[in-house]
Amino acid sequence: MIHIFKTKLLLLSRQPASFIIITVIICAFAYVLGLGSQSKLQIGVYSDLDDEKTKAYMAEFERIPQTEYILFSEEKAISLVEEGEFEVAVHLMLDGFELITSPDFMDAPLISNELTTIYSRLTQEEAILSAAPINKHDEVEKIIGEAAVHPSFHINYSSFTNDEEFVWDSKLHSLFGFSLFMVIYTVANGVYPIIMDRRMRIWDRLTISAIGKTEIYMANILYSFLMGYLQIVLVLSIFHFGVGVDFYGGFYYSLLLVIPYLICIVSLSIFIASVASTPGKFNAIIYGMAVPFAMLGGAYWPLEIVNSDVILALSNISPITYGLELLNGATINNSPFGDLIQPLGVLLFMSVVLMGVGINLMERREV
Amino acid sequence: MIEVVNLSKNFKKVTAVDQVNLYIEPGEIVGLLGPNGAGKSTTIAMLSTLISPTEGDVLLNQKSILKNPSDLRGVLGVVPQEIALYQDLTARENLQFFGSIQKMAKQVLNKRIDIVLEQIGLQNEPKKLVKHYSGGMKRRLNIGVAMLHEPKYLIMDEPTVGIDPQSRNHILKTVKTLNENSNMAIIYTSHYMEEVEFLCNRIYIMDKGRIIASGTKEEIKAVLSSENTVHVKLEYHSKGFVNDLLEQPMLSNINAKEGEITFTVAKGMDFLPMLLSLCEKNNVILKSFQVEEPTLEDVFLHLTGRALRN
Repeated sequence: MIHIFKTKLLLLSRQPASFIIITVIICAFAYVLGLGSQSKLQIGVYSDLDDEKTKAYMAEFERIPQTEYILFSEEKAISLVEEGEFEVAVHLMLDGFELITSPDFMDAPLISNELTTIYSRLTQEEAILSAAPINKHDEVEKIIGEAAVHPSFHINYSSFTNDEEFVWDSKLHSLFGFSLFMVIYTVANGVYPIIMDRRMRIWDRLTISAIGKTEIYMANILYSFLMGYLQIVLVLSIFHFGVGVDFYGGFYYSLLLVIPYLICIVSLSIFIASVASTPGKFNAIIYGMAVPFAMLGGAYWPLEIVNSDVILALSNISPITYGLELLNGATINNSPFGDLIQPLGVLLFMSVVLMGVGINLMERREV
Repeated sequence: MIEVVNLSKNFKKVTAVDQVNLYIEPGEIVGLLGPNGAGKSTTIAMLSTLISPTEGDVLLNQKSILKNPSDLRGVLGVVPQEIALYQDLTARENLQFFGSIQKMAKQVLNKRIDIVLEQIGLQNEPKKLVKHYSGGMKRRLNIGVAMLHEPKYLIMDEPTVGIDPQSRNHILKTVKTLNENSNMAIIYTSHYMEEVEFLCNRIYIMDKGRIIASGTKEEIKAVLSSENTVHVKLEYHSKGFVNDLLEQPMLSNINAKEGEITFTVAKGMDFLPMLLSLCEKNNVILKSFQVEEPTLEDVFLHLTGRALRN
């Protein structure tokens, strides 16, 4: 088995383009759709406060995720909102702030709430500081700083969840979706040599050699699986360690839970190799099947936003559906293991059936 | 000795091989001759344990190998008709891989690789990728891979298809030398009559899934021992002339191809006046004619009524 495996690696090293291109495509699509497309909400700012205070307030506002603050004159800020270039502007005043929004801006309460929280904290700190003697300002500022880092009470926010609730992280979804979708091609590329070997009669040479059929199949299956797994590990690692995508503490767990999905895709590829008699047919089936599987499985958009009962029913046949359930369960949903048994079971069932039928059909096909 | 006993293979309703019997003794070269679709490759596939027969048996030293093919596989090398090599590996890498799956010890394998590369004349280019080889070089390596583990029986399925005459001669000489030096028995299938005549001690002629003649070259040619083969060359092809020839009772096995016509005629029969008068009648210019002893091709034509390469 090791000889076949080593030779496959040697052949891959001579023709690595396909593996590299697919890896780059996954990274590019996941980045563009998950990260790059998320533009920040631009908020115009005009202020009655002095420059130093305005800058300090704006620096605090920047902590609100996905927002960006730009200082303008009052006329300019208001005209930007009036002309529809900005959806919202904020007027900083000594005793509070006011929001100027376009009529269809729906997030005004959210922004207002966030700004109020920051404004009250800063006003409170100023009040504390002004109440203290001038010579104690440094000491008070230090205490306030420490209190911010080590507060007396830790407050955790949590929400009640139920089956209807939809938790969504576009970065993770794009990353998982495109990884699971594109890795189908990598795994299929690993299985493709079986068809070529059979066609070129290399398979016959392997069959009548001193090694058994089990070893031949094991080597091919292991190679396809490891190619897919290596690619997934590579892509997820780039986004986790390089880009800084938050896996909600489930990075290594997701690397573990992607294994059943990959086994299922290897089995599916073996099955297709058994029914497709030529390399052309194999490629046509793989390419024709992967995209619908990705669409039905929720790789492009979350299934939770799909209303069609037909599409939701069809999504049950796509391994990507279950792969995404597992990866979301390992990360954003933080699901208990019991909730993952169902997708895990379906993937393993598909693997056993497809692999069994596939190898059987392959062995039955004669000269 | 390998024996094939009443071997048959049906694919759905088609009988590809029908009650074939043959044997191969150690050290001999046996030819399996027949046109495309005669059932040679299917017979070879059953003989090399790649597919199981519908009926019949394959015996190695009088023991059936159908249930336990590993005994035969251990002493068998197969040269497929296709170039069964990895194109992105070098000759040495291919030999190393196919040797390693025969579980050959590393040192033995490396020695054998050097010997085989020399035998097939590729010792000077072992580091070139196979995809950059000429057709003839690929064919030679295809053979080299099969003889790496020194099998006692080597099955060669049309090993010279699609190559230039120079490479073809090299392969034929290699096969002959291999047989003489190593006592390796060779089963050689081909539809090139001259290759089989050059190489083989005994010949089986197959057509439509059946063995229609077998024996040594001389025994098979004796089928037509009372006849001569006449090759006629005309200035141009004439359908009328061929039709007139077909009507002549003294001629048989008439095969016309453009300006060349071949037929057999009983020894001592004076066919020349008839030939000249038909030329004159059809306004055909006779360029040349040659009377020869019958070849295997003529025997095949006689037995099947059609030319071997049809």
